[in-house]
This record gives sequence, structure tokens and C-alpha cells, in this order.
Amino acid sequence: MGYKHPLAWFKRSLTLLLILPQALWLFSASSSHAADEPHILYMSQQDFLTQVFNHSHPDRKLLILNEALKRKAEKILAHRYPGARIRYWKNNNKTAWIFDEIGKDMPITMGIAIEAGKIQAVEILVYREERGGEVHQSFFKQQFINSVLNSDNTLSKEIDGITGATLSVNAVTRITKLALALHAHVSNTRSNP
Amino acid sequence: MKLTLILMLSALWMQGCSTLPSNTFVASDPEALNEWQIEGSITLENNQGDHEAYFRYTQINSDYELAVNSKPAASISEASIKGNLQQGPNSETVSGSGKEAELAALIKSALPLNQLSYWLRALPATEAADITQKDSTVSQLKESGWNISYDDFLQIDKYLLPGQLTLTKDNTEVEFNVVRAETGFLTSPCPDMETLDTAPFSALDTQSEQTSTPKLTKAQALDLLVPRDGSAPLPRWINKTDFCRQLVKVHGSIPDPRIGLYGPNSMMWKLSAPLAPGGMGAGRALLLQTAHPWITASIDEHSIVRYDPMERARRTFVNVFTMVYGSMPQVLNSAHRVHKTHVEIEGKIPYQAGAFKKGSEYHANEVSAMIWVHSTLWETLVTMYEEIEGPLSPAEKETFYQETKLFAMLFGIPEDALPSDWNQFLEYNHAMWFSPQLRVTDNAKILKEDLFTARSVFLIFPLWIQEIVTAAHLPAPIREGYDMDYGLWEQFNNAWLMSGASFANWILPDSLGLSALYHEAHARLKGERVGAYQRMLIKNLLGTERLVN
Repeated sequence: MGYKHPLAWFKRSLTLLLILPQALWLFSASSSHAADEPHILYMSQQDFLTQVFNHSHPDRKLLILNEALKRKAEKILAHRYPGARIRYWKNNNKTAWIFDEIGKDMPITMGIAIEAGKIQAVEILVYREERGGEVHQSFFKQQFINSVLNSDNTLSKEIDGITGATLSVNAVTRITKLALALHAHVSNTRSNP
Repeated sequence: MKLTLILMLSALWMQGCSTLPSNTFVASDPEALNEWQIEGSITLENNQGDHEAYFRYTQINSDYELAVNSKPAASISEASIKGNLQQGPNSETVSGSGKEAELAALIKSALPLNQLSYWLRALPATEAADITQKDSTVSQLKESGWNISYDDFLQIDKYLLPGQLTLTKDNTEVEFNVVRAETGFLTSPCPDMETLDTAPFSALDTQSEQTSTPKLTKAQALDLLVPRDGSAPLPRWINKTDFCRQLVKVHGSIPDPRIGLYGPNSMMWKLSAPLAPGGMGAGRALLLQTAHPWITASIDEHSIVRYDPMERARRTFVNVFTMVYGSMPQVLNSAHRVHKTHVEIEGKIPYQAGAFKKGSEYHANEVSAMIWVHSTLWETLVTMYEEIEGPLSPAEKETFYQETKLFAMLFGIPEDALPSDWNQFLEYNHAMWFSPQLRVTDNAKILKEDLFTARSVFLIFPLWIQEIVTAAHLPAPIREGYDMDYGLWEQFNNAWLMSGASFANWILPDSLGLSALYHEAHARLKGERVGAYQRMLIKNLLGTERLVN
């Protein structure tokens, strides 16, 4: 292989000389690269469903959002629900829902379990925001247990906020209300088709 | 000798492991995507033979379009299939002519396109799907008689989307190789704001109403930013409507969303591509910014710079590089992200600092403060570029300056609030250096010390270079404010460091001397993935698998 100009050979050699240690350094770090925000996986989807349904969780169902449901979701969330459908799991009168909802900038993945129209469990599965991660703590999540949805789309129980985590608290509260509304919808639809 | 080499390589390896933060990415649910687009190549094999083409699949709410082209990255489709998810296969229509239209018709007859919308995101189309998962990603889907296998997932924004999927049924096999994707902002720069009137800019604050007179002379515009009496400029807050109004203007002025704000023929790409000018000027731009008491106060109260300057720098560069090199959807995504971050940054100045009184309010989304930050970036870039790469003509500088206005508008800064041309821009910068709006506070000095203190043995030399070059290039009053030495020793070191940077810039091949994002942006324009080395650089230095492709 011949180089037309001595500088070309020199540049090629220099490239290799500089790239090799840099590549080694980067490759060693490639398995440990940073994400855009610190993401914390608290619980996998599988573990959440196992917790809710005790090792025998039902098949996934898909709730297609018609116009009426989209409007209802928008009213509760105070913004458009972007997806066309929502996945959920249902066994008798118990349902489990997994949603992504943006707190400030990044989605928080939440699992909500409902039984007979009452919140049975609220779990933060993945937290991606820089601040406000206190919402995964038990003292906060416990407040939602046994809440029901009032006719004016408010929760029956007062939820205390967390200083410095207002946007995350609001996101969890909104999603809890949406899950209750959708639980009522699928319970009524399936029992009274 | 061998032992030394092994020890050196091991040290390098361990340093790489320890310097960068750990991987924490957890993908969001692609079910929530309602405006998205992917493109790449498609291969269809069936009884009628083998067919290859390039595709672009776009979904906007329920409407989808599969464009089929003979070339990658085509802005106009040669053939396409359009349909609606809710209306089903009966809504599908094929348009176009030639071989691509024939292939489109074949694809339409072979594939259930309304289900493809879900399969392309590794989602089941129906409740009846049989899903196999491997390492928390879908490896196989069996649905409607089709067997879909997945490989090579791509991290795109906050999602993981399949890079390769193969669909087989009977004698038909269809393979999609995805090169790139967009995950939002395809139709509107502000999707959550239904209507935006076209009234001229008017900030929320009542004080600013006095300043929103329609036409100002150049001198009056400069006086608004740097009042002659040495007082602080009247605050002009940017709210969501103001911000979106500027985005609409920017969006309307871009002919091809794939190219983004600038493109390969722009001065912005020319000046931003070489690593040396931006790298050598980073300290200067930063210290000019922190000489503004608002910036230091907001860093003190809201930023992680003091504890983790590398992480803070990475987040900043992710947004700046995306705005410079990204496609329009990526640019808009970054603009929204920065605006949201800025909304949270507000407070009161805890001490008297130059023109700013103790207890006076500061907001990150304020016109004059944002113009100052914006100016430090571009004035520094031109200064360093001319010293390292060579002089620019007045016309080139003017073109570059006019291009930077688009960048400013991404923050909600109205164009008429900016200095009108390059000369006035320089005049503004000089006026600021000598105005009481810049005051190096004790906190700013501590911040400077934090920034130039190496937290790793590998950073001692780079930060020493940065400190020398920064001291040499800061305006004298600001340098003195930071108590930075600039005697004969520093001048000597600056001279050889800058000469060394010029030499390195000349001798290094483009793969090393130009920004990885510049290479990635070029790959986007060609409809390709950027090479492995540049991918590795982006992944490790910016923490994301891809940024502008």
C-alpha cells in the first residue's frame, strides 16, 4: 500500500497511535457510560406484577383509548395522553397498571394496583429525574392505599406533598387518579359488555 | 518492559472505568409515542424474488406512512403507503410510480401495516401476541401468523427501539434495518400549545411593556442591554408563550428538518467542528458567564457544577451540540428541555453585586442574562477559531453571527432584542466587560477554583492548560477580578500551548480533530450510522448512544 504524500503516512500512524490508548480508555468505560439523567430502577415490571398477583399474574390486556376515554384522561392528567392504548393486567376485580408520566422533564414509571375500586399499591418502578426521588419512599406511597376516586376526579384521601419534589408528587397523584378511572371503566365494560 | 506496558494499560483501563459515571439508562415505554419516525433499509424476499429499498416509517397519531425510496435520506418519497390505524387495512393507499411503487404494493399485500406500527417498536399489536423477552427487551413476537425476531436495540432519546427486525411468515421474509429515528416534534414546535397568535414579543413582566416598542435604533437596542448609567437592564422574563412564539419562527425558517438549523454549508458547523477552538475556549466562556452575578447565584442555588463539574458540562454540551448539529425535531426537543430546566431556576441575589442589588430577583429565563450567556459562547468561539485556525473575513463573521440568532431564538430570545450585526455584537461584548453588570464575586472566585481543581490525576495537565489559556484570553478587568496571574511565565506558556493547538489541529486527521457530533450529523444527512469509533466517543463522553442521528 502506497501513500501519495509522506504526510498521509504520518497522519495515519498518528491516528493509530492516538486512537489506541483512547479507545482502550473509552472501551473500558463503555460498559459504564452515563445516561442523560440518573435512572434508578427500583422494581421490575415482572416483580411488580408478582407482588400484585402472587406469582400467577394474568395475561396483558390492551385498553384502546377511544375519544371519550382520551378526553377523560386529558381532564385528569391536565395534558394530552400521548399513547393510543394502555396496557393493564386484570384478575377478577383486581387490576394492575403501568404508566410513564413526566414529573419535570423525564418519565417516572409507576405501577398502580387497584382492587374493588380502591388503591391497593403504588410503586415507583423507575425514577429518571434528577430531583424528587423521595416519592419512592414508603411514607409517601402508603398515603394512597385505599383511596377511591371521587366524582369530581379527586382522591378520597388527602395526599401530603414532599418539599422539593412537588412535580413528582403531582405526577404520582395524577396517575393514581387515572388508574382509578380506567379501573372503573374496564370493570364496568367487562362486567356489562 | 512487558510488565511496564501491562501496568500502564491496566492503569488506563481502570481510569476509564472510574472516571465516567455508571450506566443507569432505563428505557421509557414506546407505547406513549404518538409522533415518531424511523428510517433505514428494507429487504423483502418471497416467491416473486428479492427486493431491496430504503424506507421511512412515520406515524402521527393514528395516521401512518411507509415511504419507499431507491436512495437513503431522501426528503421526497418516490413511493409510499398511507393508512390509518383505527380504520384498518381498507384505509391504505399506495402512491408513486416505478420500481419503488411496485415494491410498495408488494409490501402492502405482504404485511399487515396497521400491526407494523407496533412491531417496529417491539410492541405487540394485539392481546393475543406471544412475547419472548431476553434481558428485559423483546427478542421475539409471534402474532397473526408472523414470527418477528429482534436484534440490536438502539437507544434513541429516552427509548430503546429495535435496530433490526426480521418478519417471517410462510415463504415471505421481510427485514428492516433501522439507521435512525425521531421520537417527537414532527408536526409542531410546541405540540401542547394549540394556538399561538403572531403578535410581537411581549414579556409577562409589566416593566418590560415599556421596552417592547416596535422599532428601536441600534443604539437604543444596545442601551437596553447595557444601560449607559450603569444600572441593571430592565428584566424581560420569557414565559412559555414567548418561548414557543420564537420556536414557531425558527421552525418556519428551516426548509429541511433533516438538516436542522445549520447544515454542512453553514459557518456554525465550520467553526464548531474543530475540537481545539471550542476546547481551548471553554474556560474563557465559562468564567465570562460566572462573572455575571445572576449566573453565579443560580449555580450556587440550583446547579451541581460545584460537586460534579464534568457531569454539568456534559449535560450542557448535550443540549448545545444537539441544537447546533441536530435535526429539527432533535433541536426542538433540546430547546424544550432547556426551557423547562430554566423555568425552575429563579431566586434572589443574596448580596450586592455590581449593578444588581441585594435581594433583587433573578430568573434563568430572562432576555438580557440569556443574551450574555449566548454571547460568551460565540464571541469566544470566533476568538479562539481565528487564533488556532486562521482569520475569518468580515463577511464570514457576519454570516456566523446571523446564524447564531437562530440559536438564541431557541431559548425564547426575540431576534430584535439581540445586537443586530457582528459589529454591534462586538460593541455589546466590550460594553459588558466594562459594565457593572459583570462583577466577579467571592462566590465566583470559589467557583473558578473548584472548576480548575483536578479531581483525577489525568485531569491535572488539561486543567493547567485550560487555566493558562483562559487567563490569557479573558478581558483584563475580568481576569483581574478573578485574581488570575498573567505575567511573562503565563504569556510564554500560552504562546506554546496555542501554537501546539494550532499544530495539532493541522496535523490531526478529521476523525480525531473534528467533533464526533459533526461526524454523526453528516451520517444523518447520508442516512447512515456513524462509525464505531465516533459512536464510542459519543456514548462515553456524552452518555448517550447517539445524539444527532
